[in-house]
Amino acid sequence: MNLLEVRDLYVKYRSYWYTYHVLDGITLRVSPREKVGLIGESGAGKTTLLKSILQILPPQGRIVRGEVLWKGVDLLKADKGYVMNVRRKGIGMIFQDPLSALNPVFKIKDQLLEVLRYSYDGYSKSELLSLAEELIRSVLLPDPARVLESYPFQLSGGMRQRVVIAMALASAGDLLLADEPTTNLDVTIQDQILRLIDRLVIERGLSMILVSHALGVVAKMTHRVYTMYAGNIVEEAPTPKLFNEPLHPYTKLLIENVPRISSRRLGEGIKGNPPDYRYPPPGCRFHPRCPYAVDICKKVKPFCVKVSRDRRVACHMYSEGLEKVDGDVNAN
Amino acid sequence: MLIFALARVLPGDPIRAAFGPDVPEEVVKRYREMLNLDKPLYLQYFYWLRDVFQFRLGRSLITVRDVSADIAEFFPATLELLLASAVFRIIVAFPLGVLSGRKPGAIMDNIIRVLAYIGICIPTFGWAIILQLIFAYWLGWLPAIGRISEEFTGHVPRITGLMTIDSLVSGNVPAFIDALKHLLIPTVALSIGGAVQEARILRASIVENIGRDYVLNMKSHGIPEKIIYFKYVLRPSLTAVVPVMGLDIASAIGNAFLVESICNWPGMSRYGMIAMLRKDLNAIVGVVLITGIAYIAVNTITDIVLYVIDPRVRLRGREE
Amino acid sequence: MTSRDLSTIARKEREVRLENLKRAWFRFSRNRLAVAGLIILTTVVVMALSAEYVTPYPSHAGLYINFEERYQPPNPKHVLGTDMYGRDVFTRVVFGFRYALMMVGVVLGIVVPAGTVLGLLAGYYKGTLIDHAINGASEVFVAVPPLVLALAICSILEPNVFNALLAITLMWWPWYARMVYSMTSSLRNEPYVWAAKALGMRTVDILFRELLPNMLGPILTKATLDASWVVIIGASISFVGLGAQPPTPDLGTMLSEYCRYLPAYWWMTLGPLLGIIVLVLSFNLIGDGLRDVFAGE
Repeated sequence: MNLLEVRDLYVKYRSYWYTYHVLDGITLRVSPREKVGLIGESGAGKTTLLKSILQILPPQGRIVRGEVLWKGVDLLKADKGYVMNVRRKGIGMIFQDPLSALNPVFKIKDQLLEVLRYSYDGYSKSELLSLAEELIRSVLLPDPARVLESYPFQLSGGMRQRVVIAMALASAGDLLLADEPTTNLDVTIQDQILRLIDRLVIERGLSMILVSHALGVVAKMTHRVYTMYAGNIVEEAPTPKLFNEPLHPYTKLLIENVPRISSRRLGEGIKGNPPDYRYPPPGCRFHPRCPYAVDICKKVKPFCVKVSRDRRVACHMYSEGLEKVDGDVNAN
Repeated sequence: MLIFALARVLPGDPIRAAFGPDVPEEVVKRYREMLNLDKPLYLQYFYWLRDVFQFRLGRSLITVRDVSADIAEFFPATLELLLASAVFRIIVAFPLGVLSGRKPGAIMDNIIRVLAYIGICIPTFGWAIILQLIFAYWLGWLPAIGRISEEFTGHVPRITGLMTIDSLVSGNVPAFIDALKHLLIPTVALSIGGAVQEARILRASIVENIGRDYVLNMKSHGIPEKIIYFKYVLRPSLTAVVPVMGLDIASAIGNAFLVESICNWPGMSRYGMIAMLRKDLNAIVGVVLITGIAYIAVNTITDIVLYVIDPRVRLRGREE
Repeated sequence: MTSRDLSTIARKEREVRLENLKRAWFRFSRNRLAVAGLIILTTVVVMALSAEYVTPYPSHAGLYINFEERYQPPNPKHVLGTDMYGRDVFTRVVFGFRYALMMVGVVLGIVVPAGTVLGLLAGYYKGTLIDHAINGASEVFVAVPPLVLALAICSILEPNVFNALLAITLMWWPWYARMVYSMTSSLRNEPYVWAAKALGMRTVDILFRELLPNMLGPILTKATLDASWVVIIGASISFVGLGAQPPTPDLGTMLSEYCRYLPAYWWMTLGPLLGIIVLVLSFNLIGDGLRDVFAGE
C-alpha cells in the first residue's frame, strides 16, 4: 500500500484582487521507505504541494478539491484529531528558509520542546529535554545545551537549518517532506546537510519527498522523480531513467540546462517565464515556452499517459494510442 | 551597549532637546531686544542653559513664583492622566486587536474596523466635548471638569501627587472613587482614538504573521491552534505595535494640552496653556522643556519595553 | 547609444508609467471606501470654493448679529441651527472648510516638496556634512511633541492664521525629511543608481528622475493621511485661541466659541465638529485606498 497518495489536487490562492490557480490537478504517491524527488523551477507550486499535504497553507490558500490519502485515509475529509495526529507523529516537514521557519522571538528550546510535547505525549519535562538534546546531537550540532538556549538569529544559516531538520524529525514518524533544504545555504554546507538528511532518512526508515532545484542531488538521493511545471505533474519516472532519457520537453530542457563545471558554461536557463497563475495558458500550460509545441497543445490539456510500466508523462507527443491514467482528467 | 541603545532610541540627545524648545525663545528675544541683537543671543542661551541645569526656569508672570515650583506642583496631575491613558490604551487596544485578528473578515473584525475609523476621525478635543456632553451633562454619571470633588479637597494627603494613588494609599476609598470618576473622561478622550488605531495595527500585524513560515512550521507539527495563536503569533506581533503605541502615548503629551484645558484638569499642560495665552515666556519655555523631556522619556520607555519583549533588539545590542 | 535609442527608451518609459498609472487607478477605483472618500472630498472642495453661492446665508460667515434668530435648534431653515448671534451654523461650517482646506494646501504645499528635497539630499549624501546638518536640524524639531511645539510658536508670535500656518509648517517638514531620508538611504545602493552614476548622469537627474519616482507612492499616501492631521492640528491651535480669532469662521475657532454654550445649545458645537469629522474621514479613506494601491498585490 502507498504511504501517501495525492489524487487530482487543485489549490488556489486568493488575493484581494486576483485568484491564482496554483495547483492544477496533482497526482503523486510515495511508498514506505521510498525517496521521491520533485523537480521544477521556482514557482512551480512545489512548496504549495507540500503544504497542502499537511493542510498548512497560508490563509489565502484554499484546497479546491482532490484527495490526500495517508495510509488510505483521506486527510482532507478526516476529522481534525486524525490530521493533528498525522502532523504530530506521521509527517515532518523541513521548511525552505531556515530563518523564516523559526520564530524570531522564542528560544530554540521553547520551540523544539513545544513540538516534542505534542509528538511524544506522556513524556515528562526532563525526558523531553533530553530528547531535544538528543535530536540536536543527531543533526550533528555541537554543544546542544548552548544551541537550545539560543535565539534563531544567533545561529548561522547552517545551524538553523539543522535545527529545522531536528524539528522536522521530531514529528516525522513515517515521512519527511524536505522543501529545498539547501537553497538558502552556503555551497560548502549544502552537501553536508543533504548527506545528513539522507543518512537520517535511511537510519530511521523514513520515506521522503525531496524538493530541489539541484538536479544532481535529486539524481543521487532519490528512487523516483516527478517533474512539476506550473502546478502540473508533467512527468514521472524512476530516477535513472528520467535523467538518462527524459521524455517531456520541459524535463529535457531542465536537464540540459544544468550548469556543468566541466564545460565551464552556465546554463542559459529555459527561455521565457513560468506562466501567470491568474490567467494560466489554455491547453498545455507549458506550450508558450515549448520548442515542440503544435496547435493541439494550445487548445487541449494533455492528460497523463503511461508510456511504460513505471513511467508517466503528460504531453501530446506521447499520448497517441495510449490510455490516460490516474486523475489528470480535465483542463483547469 | 547602553550608549548604543540610547543613541538608537532617542530622537535627539538631552542637550539638543533643551535646544529645541529654546528656538522660539530666541526668536522672541530677538524681537524684544531688537536694539542689542549681536551680544546676547549665545550668551543668553548659555546662561539659560546653566540655569536649567540648576532647575531654575525663571519667574512666572502669572503665579509670580519660580516656574520650576509651578511645574512641580502641576506635573503630577498630568503624569496621572498620561499613566491612566497608557493603561487605558493597553486594556483596550490589545484585546480588540487580538479579537479582530483571530478571524479576519468576521463581524467582530468589521465592528472594530468601523470603530477605528470613528476613532481617527474625531480629534481628541472632539472626544472630550462629546464625552462631557453625553456622560456629564446628559447622563450625569461623571463629573465634567476638575480632578476631585470639593468635599474631598484637602482631605487627601499629597504623597505621590497622583490623586488616585494618594487616596488609595491613605485608605480614603470614597475619595479614590471620586478621583477615578474625574479621571475617566479626560483619560478616555485622550486615548480612545489612539487605542482603536493601535488595535488595527495589532490586527494587521497578526494577520501578516499568521501566513509566515514559522507559524506554518508550528502548525505542521500539530500544535493546537490556540497555542499557536496566543503564543507564537501574538508575541512577534506585539513587537510591531509597541513602537507605535509608544509614539502615540508620546504624542498624547501634546494632546493633553487640549484635554486638560477642556476638562479643567489642573495639570502642567493646562498651566502651559494658560501661560501661552498670556505670553508668560518663562513658563512657556519651562513647560515645553519638561514636555520635551517627558517625550523623550516615553520614547526611552518604549525602547526598554521593546528591549524586553524582542530578543533581537536585546541581544544584538550586546553584540555591538 | 544614439539619440534615437534614447528617445525610444524615454517613450517606452513614459508608456510604462502611463500603464502603471492606469493600473493604480483601476485598483483605487475598485476600493469602494476610497472612492467614497474621494467623492466626499470633491464635494467639500467644490462647496468651499463656491461658498458664497451654495450657502443659504453667506453674510453670516463673519460678523453678523440677529438676536431674534439666535439659539435655534436644527430646523429646515437652519439645518445645523443658529449660534448665539443668530448666525447660520451650516453656512459658517462651509466657510470653515475653506480655511481648513487652505491650511492643508499651504502646509502640504510647502512641507512635502521641502521635506522631500531635504530628505533626498541627506539620504544621497549619507554620512557627509549635508546629512548631519539636515538630520541634526530635524532632530531638534522631533524632540518635542509636534502639537506642543506648534502651540508654543503660535503663542510667542501673534495669534493669527498666518502664524498658525507658519508653526505647523515648521514642525512638519522633519517628518517628511526623515521618511524620504530612510527610503533614499536604502535605495541609494540599488544597482540602477550605480548604473546611473557610472553613466555619468547628473546628480540632480539621479535624485529626481531615478530615486524620486520610486518614492512617490509612499509620499503621496503619507501626504493624504497627513492632510487630516493638518486639519486636526489647525483646528486644535485655533480651538485653544492661538490661531484664527473670532469672528473668522474657522472650524476650531467656532468650536471653542460654541462649546461654552454646552450643554444647553449642543447643536452649535455639533456643526463644526461634524465639519472636522467629514474632512478627516475623507482624507483618511483616500489615504488608506492609496496605501493599498501602492502596497502591491
